Amino acid sequence: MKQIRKGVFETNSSSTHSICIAKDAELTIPKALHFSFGEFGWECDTLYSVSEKASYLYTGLMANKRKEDVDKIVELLKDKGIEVTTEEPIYKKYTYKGNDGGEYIDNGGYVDHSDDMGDFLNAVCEDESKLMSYLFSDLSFIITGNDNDDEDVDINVDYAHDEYYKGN
Amino acid sequence: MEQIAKYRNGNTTVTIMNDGTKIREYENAPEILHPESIDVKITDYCDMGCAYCHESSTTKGVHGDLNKLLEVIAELPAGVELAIGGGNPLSHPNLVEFLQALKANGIIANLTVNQGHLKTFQDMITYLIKDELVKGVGISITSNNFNYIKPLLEITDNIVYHIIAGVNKVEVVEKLIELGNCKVLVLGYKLFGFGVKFHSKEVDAELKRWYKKLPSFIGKCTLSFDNLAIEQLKVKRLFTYEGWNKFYMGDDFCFTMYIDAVKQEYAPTSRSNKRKSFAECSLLEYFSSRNCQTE
Repeated sequence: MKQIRKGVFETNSSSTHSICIAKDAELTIPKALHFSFGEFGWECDTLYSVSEKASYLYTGLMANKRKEDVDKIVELLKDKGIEVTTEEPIYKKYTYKGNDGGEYIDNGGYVDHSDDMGDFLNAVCEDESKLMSYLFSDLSFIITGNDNDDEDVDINVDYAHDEYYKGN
Repeated sequence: MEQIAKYRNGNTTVTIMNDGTKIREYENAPEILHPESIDVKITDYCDMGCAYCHESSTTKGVHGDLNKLLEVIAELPAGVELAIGGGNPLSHPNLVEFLQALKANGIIANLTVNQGHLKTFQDMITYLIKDELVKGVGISITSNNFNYIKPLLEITDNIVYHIIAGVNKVEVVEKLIELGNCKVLVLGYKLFGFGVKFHSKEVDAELKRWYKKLPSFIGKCTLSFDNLAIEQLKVKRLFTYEGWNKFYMGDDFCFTMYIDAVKQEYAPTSRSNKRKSFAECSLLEYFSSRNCQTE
């Protein structure tokens, strides 16, 4: 085993320098990856871990009925030696009556206003390098929030990156 | 990078480079005999009057006996790091002699000072860096005036800005990045010492802003965190499983410990009340009494 504290001496006068994120973050490919359904609603959060980013992508694709893209991604990752599993969608987990009287289905996972995710989903489904970078780079992340929050969060980074915005 | 120290500690091998990089290697689980680094408070004297000071340092504070401290740490091999702080460690009358003794023994001395003391102690800090009596210099950021930091950046690459999440506004990181070669240590908010009374809703609100903004700094500076900040800002979310295992350097009191040289006590961390006096046992005996789940 090897552990690394990168680029700083121990100057902490209170406890310990426990973890360090250096400038030259690397792409880390896991041996296994599970795509689960998540709940990505109004809450302000930052998704940075591979599992969270995978869940966001998977939930978004399934919410947009793009199962064929999920299958393609799964095959692509398997070809790279990653053991991939997916959470089975549980359709009709429960239903509810809408204000208009119609019956709606909730499959236990959703992205708020998921129909606005097209640009992002197209980008990662059509470009393998973007997919890999999105999932496995420490420098890729998602900030979630809502339009009722007064505080805007800019993706203010100076390294090369692509930026996608989903409204609402 | 140049290697400045390498030592064996139980079944681990530790290598330290001149930019501060530390590489710890071992088979199976680490079983170590002595701490890799120790946080040391050498004085309780400080004239900064920070309302949140978890060490409760004041101008009535007294200095620690550094000769006694040298006796206590004499068991440690070359390459072990001391993170020396206070109070204001620069106010200790025996600081230079103490650092010279550490250097002679190969102990790596790092010093944390308050930004507010840079003007008064500029010559002394410059001397300590140039004479390699200290390697890493931590600067506790207390204002947006960086005039006295800039000259230090010209003589060393090993300045680390100490920022307390909840006390410092998160935007200060952006300003420090503009200075160049930015290394930041984010410290969690300590409900200890004066920090108990200073704690407020505003502190908690600022911690939330830190949580939100933190990812935007990645790639722009070298970020490190203490264990409290890791907990308060949920730093683990920023890592892959593999990345976490590679970069997480261990829980408090696994590879590190704390010494209060003023009260002549050992403790797991500076915010721990579980303390033992120098008179009760040796440093190694105290360290071996810990229960570290990493091992």
